[in-house]
Amino acid sequence: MPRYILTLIHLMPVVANAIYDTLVFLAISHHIVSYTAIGDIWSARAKSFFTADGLPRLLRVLLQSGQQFYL
Amino acid sequence: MGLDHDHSTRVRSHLQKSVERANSHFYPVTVSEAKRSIFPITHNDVLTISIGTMGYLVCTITLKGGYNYSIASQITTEMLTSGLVVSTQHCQALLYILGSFSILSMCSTWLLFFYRVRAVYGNSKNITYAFGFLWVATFGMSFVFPFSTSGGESPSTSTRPLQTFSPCAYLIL
Repeated sequence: MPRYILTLIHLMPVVANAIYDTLVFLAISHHIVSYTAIGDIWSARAKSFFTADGLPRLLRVLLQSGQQFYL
Repeated sequence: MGLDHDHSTRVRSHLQKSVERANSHFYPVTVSEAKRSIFPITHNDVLTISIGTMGYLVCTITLKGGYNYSIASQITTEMLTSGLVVSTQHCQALLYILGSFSILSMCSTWLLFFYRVRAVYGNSKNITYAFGFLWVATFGMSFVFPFSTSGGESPSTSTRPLQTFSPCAYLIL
């Protein structure tokens, strides 16, 4: 088997891990941010993603711990 | 009679030599011996961890806190990255064992996140199917991981650290 195919196979779990983490993070963040009380427009959601404003305490903790893990 | 005597003296001198050799590992005299005795305890097939290393492990785990990592994966990571910890004859076997345990820890972490995203979406069926499929896919792929490590067999008396460790393995740990 050529060496580069072997390397690709060995890289598979790493890539899968990255994709899975990213998708879970995006899904959770997207859903939580849609609950924000400061507005229903795109910029309000973006603001609440970065500052966690306008969110109940539980959702804020969920959002921020997700960000912490992803970083 | 003379043969027996000869034999016992030979055995005794052999024992003496091996004891001296072991002592020279413990107490290095010359520079070359000191270089050889980085791993002073040379039992074959044994995973040896010195007391200083144990202290180092405990300190780092306490300092970093077990928030994002499980303690088992933390210990594994520290042991592998510090490199001076593991001294065994069959490095590849050890790497397989460590890789299997890291599969266990990674997959359970991903499962926790699967439950989390399901809870956030209120047990929505589509989300359950999509992320369940993703989890199964990553679970299956993670079985490649132990085979992406490679270690060498060292000759019986000398010990050698983990020989090579592919960059993919570093990334995932």
